[in-house]
Amino acid sequence: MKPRFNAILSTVIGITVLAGLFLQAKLIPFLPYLLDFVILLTAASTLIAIAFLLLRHLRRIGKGSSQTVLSIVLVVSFGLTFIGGLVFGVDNPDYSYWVAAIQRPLQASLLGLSALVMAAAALKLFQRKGVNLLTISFGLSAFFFLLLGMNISHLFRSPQVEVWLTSLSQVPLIGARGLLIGMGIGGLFIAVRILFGIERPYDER
Amino acid sequence: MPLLTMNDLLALLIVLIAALILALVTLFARSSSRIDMRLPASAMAVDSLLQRSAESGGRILMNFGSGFAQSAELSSLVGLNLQRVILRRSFNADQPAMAGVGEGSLALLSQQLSYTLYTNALIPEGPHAENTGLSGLGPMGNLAGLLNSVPEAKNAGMIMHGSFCPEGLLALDLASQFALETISAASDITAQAAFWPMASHSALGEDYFASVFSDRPARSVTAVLKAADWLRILFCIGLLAAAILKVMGEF
Repeated sequence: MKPRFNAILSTVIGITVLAGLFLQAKLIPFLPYLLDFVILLTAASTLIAIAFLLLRHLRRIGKGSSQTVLSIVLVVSFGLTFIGGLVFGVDNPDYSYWVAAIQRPLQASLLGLSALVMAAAALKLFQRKGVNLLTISFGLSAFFFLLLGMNISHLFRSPQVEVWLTSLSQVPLIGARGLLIGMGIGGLFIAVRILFGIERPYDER
Repeated sequence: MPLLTMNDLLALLIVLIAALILALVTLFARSSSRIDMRLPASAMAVDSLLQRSAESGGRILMNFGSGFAQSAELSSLVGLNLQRVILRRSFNADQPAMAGVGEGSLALLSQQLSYTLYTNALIPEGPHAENTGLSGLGPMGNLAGLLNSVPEAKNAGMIMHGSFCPEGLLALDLASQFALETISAASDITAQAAFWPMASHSALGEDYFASVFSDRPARSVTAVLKAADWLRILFCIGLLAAAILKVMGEF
């Protein structure tokens, strides 16, 4: 009975959301309530998930496992941020500055590291994936479009060549659109299956 | 303001055509006695990773991305199917699979799924609360949590399935340093491009959705794949017709 109830509930919610998307003009008075409910639900689930995360790390500290130090850092930094937010309020400019001053450099360094790793991966591409038609065409096209992205079309004095190169630089966009259409079709079928209760990712069956 | 714009009508039409094709193909697949369709490479890679991890006695580390944190996209929910497949097949494994998520509601759904599966399977030592749940909040928090889990000695392989930022390749790079087999399936095409050179197996485009089909009943799987093929053909015809009309100056 319960799985069938779950499927019916998800179908009803799915159709309501779809109706909200297509009939916005008619449903405007009700949409803020629906949105508030979703925000409340998300916030509550996030709090519960954070509590689970903290409990897991506290258990690790209690056991004295190999990653105890990292768990202590996480619990202490979470505690400081949480208490700071409660005392000063999340809108407090000093508090926001304090949090951002730690978070932004960390994110920036991760980005920098990603750029280095990506460059190394490009160099090791043939070693990792082997020399085949896919890797060769990937390597050559990546290099070619990297050059095109650097605006080399300006080096040529001929306006015809410039127009030709500018059109050629649109080719990756066509590929990206093709991939997006594929993703769209895949998503559409999964959505239809979930909507009709054929697919139940939330269920144990 | 009109109730339904042209775009809305087109979207509705596409949904109806997709539902119709799926219904027809499913109906036809039931009467068919022979199934000769190969699963996509990513689905087969998941299967072989599960077999190898069972043989080596290692653990599969899963991460389902930042969930609904960035956008309320349905694709994040698909990872739960993969979690179900992997947990079912690792009930009797030496090391239970571990799943991490970067967002609250998906983390709770993942935990609930794990709990129900272990309870229904009557496994006395499960469910393991340590093995599923939030690994960090947001894309970067999730990545930080994942980076901590990768070096653990009991890991045999890693699967990244869901909504990821391209920086997720750091986790793949770390996994390759520990000789872990990795499968990536990102819902974002930038992340797909970034993960492809790093991962042992990478799902591109709509393979993202097919990678969760590893142990599904063959007829249901082939019905979806065949329906997707038919819709793709229709899309190609539509795009071609639109291009011809555009060249002819019709619109």
